[in-house]
Amino acid sequence: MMSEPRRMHPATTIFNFIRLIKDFIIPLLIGSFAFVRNISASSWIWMLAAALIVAGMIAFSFLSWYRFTYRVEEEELRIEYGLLIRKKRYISKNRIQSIDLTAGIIHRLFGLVRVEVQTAGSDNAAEAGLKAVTRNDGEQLRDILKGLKDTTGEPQEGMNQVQSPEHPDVPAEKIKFPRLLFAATTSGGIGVFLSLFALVGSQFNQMVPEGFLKGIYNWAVHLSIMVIIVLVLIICLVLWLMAIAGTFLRYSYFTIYKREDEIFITRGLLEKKQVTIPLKRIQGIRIQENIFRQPFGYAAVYAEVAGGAADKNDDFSIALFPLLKTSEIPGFIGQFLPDFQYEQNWRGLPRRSARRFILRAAAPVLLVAIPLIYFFPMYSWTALIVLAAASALGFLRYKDAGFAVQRNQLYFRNRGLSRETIVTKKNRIQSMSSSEHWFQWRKSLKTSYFSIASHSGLGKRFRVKDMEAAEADELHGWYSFQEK
Amino acid sequence: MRQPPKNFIAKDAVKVWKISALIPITVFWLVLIGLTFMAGRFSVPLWTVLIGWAVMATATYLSVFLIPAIKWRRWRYEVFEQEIDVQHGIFIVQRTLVPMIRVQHVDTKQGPILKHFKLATVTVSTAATTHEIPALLEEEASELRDRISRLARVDEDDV
Repeated sequence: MMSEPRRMHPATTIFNFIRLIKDFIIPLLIGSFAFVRNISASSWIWMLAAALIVAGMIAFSFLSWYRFTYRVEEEELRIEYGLLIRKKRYISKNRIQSIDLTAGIIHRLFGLVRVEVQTAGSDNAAEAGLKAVTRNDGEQLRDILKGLKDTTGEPQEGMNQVQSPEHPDVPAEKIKFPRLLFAATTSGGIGVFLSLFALVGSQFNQMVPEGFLKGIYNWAVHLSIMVIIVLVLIICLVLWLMAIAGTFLRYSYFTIYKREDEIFITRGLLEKKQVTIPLKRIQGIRIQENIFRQPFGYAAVYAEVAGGAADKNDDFSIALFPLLKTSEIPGFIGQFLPDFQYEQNWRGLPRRSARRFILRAAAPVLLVAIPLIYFFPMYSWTALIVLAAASALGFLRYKDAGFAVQRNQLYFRNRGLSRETIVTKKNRIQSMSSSEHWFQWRKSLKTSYFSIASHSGLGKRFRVKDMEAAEADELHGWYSFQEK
Repeated sequence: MRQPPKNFIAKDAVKVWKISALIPITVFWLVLIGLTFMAGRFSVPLWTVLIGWAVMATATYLSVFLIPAIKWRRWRYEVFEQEIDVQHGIFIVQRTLVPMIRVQHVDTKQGPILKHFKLATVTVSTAATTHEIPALLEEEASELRDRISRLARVDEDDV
């Protein structure tokens, strides 16, 4: 019975408590580290203060669990919560876009799931969430809100029974271990860990004694360049191993299946996540071939989804499959996203834009290298190597850039470091532009852009630089409603 | 490519841009004058001061005199039944198409400078982007807003 107000699982108290610690205590601790160190008070006062704070937090966590109720009534999900100020949130059933069930480590200990309800609103936070309910309740709630069952939990008449991904008629795809291993070893997720390092580093100064850093610095200055290179390599290796672990955590047991007009994805080693994507929310498909995978002919496929269903680590796009052979992609898309086709005849850029691509890649390197060479002439060979690499990258970018038009579909291809291909449809493009400046005009080149909807009304823009002006105009005409 | 859009924005836009460019420029000039006096007292070489003045003079000429005029000349727009065609840009000239079925809402807005010249800016938003047609005559702006809003009221097929 879902029409009665009910509470979440009592274990929610734990989650509330953890949340409190994460939101307030840790930043507070880090922030006040330098400050606290300089105050001398007896240790028992500190102990007492800490105990009081913890007790208060536990009470707060418990009460916020106690005061939170949810029910399904009159075709609405009704949530009431709030300790002192009571808040009510009613979400109409047919406004709900997707319902995701996630289970973290602690959830799995208790057999619980987190329910996230997303509506078409532009808010990128989940519109409503139940932090922890039993898996059974979670699935029942999902089925009721999707209109598969009525509020007593009985299957709705005339509705198709929920089909499992094992059902032979359901298109489904599971990741196999060798694939996962390959995906992990070639993942470009190093950047994420680098930023983590930077974050730790920013608080690092306050945590170590002053003399220590100076000592390290003096030591490092006296090292030879070879030792520094070895150190850098070791750090890279560690980061790489962390990226591998990250991919395993994220994409283990990755399964995608399609039911009617929705795609379901479940994944995760420790945290089990289930994501639902309604097909009509998909604005485009992005195929990413990073530099480690491209030589082997592998790519990752993402969906650009409008609205809330955001998976923050993926730049607000959702991985449809972490690793596919490029030759498998057309079949995959045909199976899961029948609205899209993936067959195209690429049109590249004219020869004369190659120079502009190389210049663009090499110029920043030159800018940094010239003063460095001036001051450290003995290392000019490294600068030359980097310069050559940058120019080569520029040339690759030129080689890979291109576009294709196929009836109402538009393809853009581009390279930053990874080669990215985006496929979208005319009625998904929110606006289209082309631009030129004097240097482009002189060689009759143009840059072409289009924007598709993404999260919180922001949109994503894709572009191809320096294409033949006439072709950019042709794209403009393809998009326009006016007679030419 | 077909002809650039037909309509220009209000001629007074140039004045508006000049005034809004003048505000930061004046602050910079004041700072520079202050620094010049300081330089006299602390015997900073004359050529650094001269460079400062030269840079500021160029910046003033560009941002107050040259750029607003070019910007106005480039700014064009045209509203068709099914789409909005906008062209703008100083060094990089950009041409944008916004289909009416993608328009989510249209606003007019007006800051103090625009208000003084009886101008208003029309803003067109889609699910992904926001486009501005700056500095139109007040009546023209509200007329345009109403017209776009009317034309945008076609049945949306999806998102």
